[in-house]
Amino acid sequence: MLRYSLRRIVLLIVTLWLLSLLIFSLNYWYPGNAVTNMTGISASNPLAYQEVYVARGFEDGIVTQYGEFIRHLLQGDWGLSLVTQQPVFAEIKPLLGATIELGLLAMFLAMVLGIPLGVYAAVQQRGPMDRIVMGVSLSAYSIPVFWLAQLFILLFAVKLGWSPISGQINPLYAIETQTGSILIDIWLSDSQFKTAAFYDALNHLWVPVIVLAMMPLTMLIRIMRNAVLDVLQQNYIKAARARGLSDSTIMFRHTLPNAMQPVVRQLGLQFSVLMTNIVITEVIFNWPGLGSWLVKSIYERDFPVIQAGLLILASLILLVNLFVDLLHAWRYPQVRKEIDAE
Amino acid sequence: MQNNRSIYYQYREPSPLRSLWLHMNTNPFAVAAFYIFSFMLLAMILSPIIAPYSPDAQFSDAISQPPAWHDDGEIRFLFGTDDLGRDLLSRVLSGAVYSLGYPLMATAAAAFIGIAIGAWAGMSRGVQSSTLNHLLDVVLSIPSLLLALIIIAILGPALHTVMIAITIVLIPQFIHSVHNAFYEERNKEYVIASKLNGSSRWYILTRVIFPNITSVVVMQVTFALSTAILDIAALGFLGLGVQAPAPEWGTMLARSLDQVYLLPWTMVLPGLALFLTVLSINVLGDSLRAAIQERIRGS
Amino acid sequence: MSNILDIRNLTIELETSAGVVKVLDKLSLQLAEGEIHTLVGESGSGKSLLAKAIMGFINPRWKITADRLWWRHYDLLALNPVQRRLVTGRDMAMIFQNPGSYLDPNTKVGEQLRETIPQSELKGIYLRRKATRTVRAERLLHRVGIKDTAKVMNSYPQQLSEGIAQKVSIAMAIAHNPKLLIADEPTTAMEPNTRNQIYRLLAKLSASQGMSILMITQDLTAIIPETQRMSLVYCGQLMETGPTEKLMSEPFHPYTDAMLKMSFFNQDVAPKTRLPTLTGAIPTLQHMPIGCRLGPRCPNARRACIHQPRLSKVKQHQFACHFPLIEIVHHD
Ligand SMILES: Nc1ncnc2c1ncn2[C@@H]1O[C@H](COP(=O)(O)OP(=O)(O)OP(=O)(O)O)[C@@H](O)[C@H]1O
Ligand code: SF4
Ligand SMILES: [Mg+2]
Repeated sequence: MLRYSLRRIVLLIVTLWLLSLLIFSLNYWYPGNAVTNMTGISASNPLAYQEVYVARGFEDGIVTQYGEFIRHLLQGDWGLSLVTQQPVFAEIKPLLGATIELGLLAMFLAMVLGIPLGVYAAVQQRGPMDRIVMGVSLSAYSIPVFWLAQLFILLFAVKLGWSPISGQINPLYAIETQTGSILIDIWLSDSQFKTAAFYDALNHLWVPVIVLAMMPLTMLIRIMRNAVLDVLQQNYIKAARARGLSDSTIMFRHTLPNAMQPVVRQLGLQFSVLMTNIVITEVIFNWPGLGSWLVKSIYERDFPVIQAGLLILASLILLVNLFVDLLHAWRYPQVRKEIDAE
Repeated sequence: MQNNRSIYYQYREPSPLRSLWLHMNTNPFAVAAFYIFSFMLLAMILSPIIAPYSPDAQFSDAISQPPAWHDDGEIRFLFGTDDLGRDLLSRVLSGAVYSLGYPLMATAAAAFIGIAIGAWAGMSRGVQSSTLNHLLDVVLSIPSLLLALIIIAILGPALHTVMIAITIVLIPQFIHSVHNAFYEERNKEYVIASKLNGSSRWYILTRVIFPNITSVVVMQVTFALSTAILDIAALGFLGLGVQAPAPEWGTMLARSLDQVYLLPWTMVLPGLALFLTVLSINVLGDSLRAAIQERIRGS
Repeated sequence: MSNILDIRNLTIELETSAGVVKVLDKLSLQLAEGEIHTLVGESGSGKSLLAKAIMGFINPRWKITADRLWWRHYDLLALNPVQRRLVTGRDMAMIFQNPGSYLDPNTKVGEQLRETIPQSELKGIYLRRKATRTVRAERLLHRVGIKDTAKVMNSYPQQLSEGIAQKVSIAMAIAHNPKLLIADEPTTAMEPNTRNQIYRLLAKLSASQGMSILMITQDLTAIIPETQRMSLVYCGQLMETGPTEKLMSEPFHPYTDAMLKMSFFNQDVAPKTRLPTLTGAIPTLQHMPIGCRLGPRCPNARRACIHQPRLSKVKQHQFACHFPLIEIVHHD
């Protein structure tokens, strides 16, 4: 396990390095001046410009420039936003909190509903409930997330008026932003309307969470169902039955652990899908997270922000993938053996 | 046929693609999806003929008209009009070119490039192959939409940049799946046998391995197509793709979001078209996957 | 002698891509209590399928019909799946041909072995029971000739060699002292020495606990010495069945005769001459001859052979042939 983890971590570092190369090169490919793209300081401010020009190694070759780029990156000097002229790095934390809150809740919802439903569909194979669950999940899987969001807004916000149309919380509650995650912020705040604020936040939260959870949920149902069906066909399950083991032993000791294997392996991919959808969902619901920040920066051609958004989102995905891989290898050791033997 | 002349019944194992086809034919959902998809394609090709109006024609006497079954609707605008008095049905029909035709083109281009690179990488070993694998891991870990967003940030939003972005984004997926498929097949006995027979690399590539991975490629194509459709629509929706007057479905949806209180019907038709197209492709891909699994299990 | 397993005219039809094929054709087999019975047949003759049919290891798409499929006083075909599992789980066990796929890849071997040990034989509270299980599991492994028990118990199935996996599956099979053990080529992946050891173990179990054993093998020369009766199948049809010595010394059926002549038991062949063999090859599933399936390859075949022969009985010796190698009172 240690060997595998080390290998995997080295791989992550290499990957991150490649990512940094990509992001570094982007600065030269974006329209405009590379120094400005990196730092957010335009040539119209000659003094500051000259300073960063030197600091970023632009008097020397490209290798020095890359070295300086990495150094500044690690120091947390990610440049200024071209639009607001605020340091980019400082802006990230609350945005990240908001995004992670949304994403985690959606992923959690998807797993809590998806896994049991998948097992249920598999056990009812070819029965009416199986067909209904699978039919609904295949359809829901094909709904583009932005249309789904619109339908939900139309239904819950416009027609039924159950939920506000967008945003994180009613600004009247004046909750101070600390982590970015609204629920935690309310908990940390010293507002006297904590409970009310909490309900208001939940009321804002549930529609985007459901919208976001839909895609991973339907995928999990389908993966889980196929995995369970596949395992149920295996000889070892039939043999366990012939040995007279009880149904519950077979289900919980043999079927589920084996069926969870493809699910765990797919979690990384699910997370990537979730991150794609989170970008769109945040824009639709005006959620103050990384996704809407990134899209806004693309409208505004705010390159330091684009670069930071890309870096954070991609690293987040890579980290989650690493975590999932390690989890998978730890729980399913025979896979590790295969990889090691390669 | 020669088979029938012999007195014994001769059983011929169908080719991989053919057996997939036979299997799909037994699945009513797959058949339905096939018809829906064909219908969409047909609608796209015939849209200049069957669309009742030009997509850009504005009827100032019929602004914000609800669908025909509504009390205020008119039969000449079956699905209503938008806030500029443009017929929604015509716009959705013409939009198929953007939302289905362009993704098809992007997928075809990406498939061509990706399969070539994937096959080359699959046949080579060692450093070449593992470097490529790691590079692909980086690229694939970034969601395709995000990558497309970055490319558009560089090139600026326009129809042709969207096409370039989507094509580039799809290529790594093709490389990855083709490479893996090749990698798996390459060490199987039948390939080694052919190698020992002295077949050339080109022969092994095209005649020995390729027929056995067509099913993987077909599946990847369906997957890429639905990704392309969704990504182009998403870009349009975000306002970073095909630009506004063009009746691209995602762009139309973005416009309807602003008017969700006033003209809720404007979001129904483009969304439905998008949904049905993607659904039919997903069902096709799904039954393909089931058929492939069945085949592997059966052998 | 009472038969505890009684199979009459068992027919199994499979749906393949080439249509429905009869893989077992009216096969009959009886097994007495405490008896070791060897079933011999070439690859593809349907031996494993027979074993699976007895164990209830069946795919719902298979069509299984029989005049009788009785285990003691249970009519196995009439039981519902739950009852059937109870009966099989309690009374029967099987050693599988490719043991690897019958072990859960994600659970350690020791764990799987432990949970096979029946609850009813354990006493005491939870922890005590757990300890007893481990001890019993180790003892089982010792009995099948595994020395390094700790290592094997701590491995995942893929880490075991075929031979060890076979031993583990033997250990699992005898864990709850079944009344019937079906051993499907249990020793193919073992060296002769270990094979003899396993054979001795099985023979001892049979003698001491009255366990009936149905041994399945392809090889007439590698049968377990203690076997009391033998049956030969060819393409899913029963050819001949009888007490071992009788069958070996005085076969009635052309197939048995040919098999014996082409085996190494045959000392009559002059050096450097051809070993007598049956002409032709085993037909494929899609091209089974009608009537006696041996027909096209049988030296004695005549016109009547296009009808399937019924089982004839001479003392304890049964055979299915229109033109057997002995002169018997004519059947119709
Ligand atoms: N699940 C199945 N589906 C289709 N055909 C099958 C299946 N299982 C077995 N068969 C066919 O039934 C026939 C008998 O198979 P079986 O496994 O019983 O042979 P066997 O006598 O055990 O051979 P071997 O000695 O090689 O183990 C074979 O021709 C096989 O192709
Ligand atoms: S029945 Fe005919 S074909 Fe069959 S074994 Fe006897 S003689 Fe040969
Ligand atoms: Mg067998």
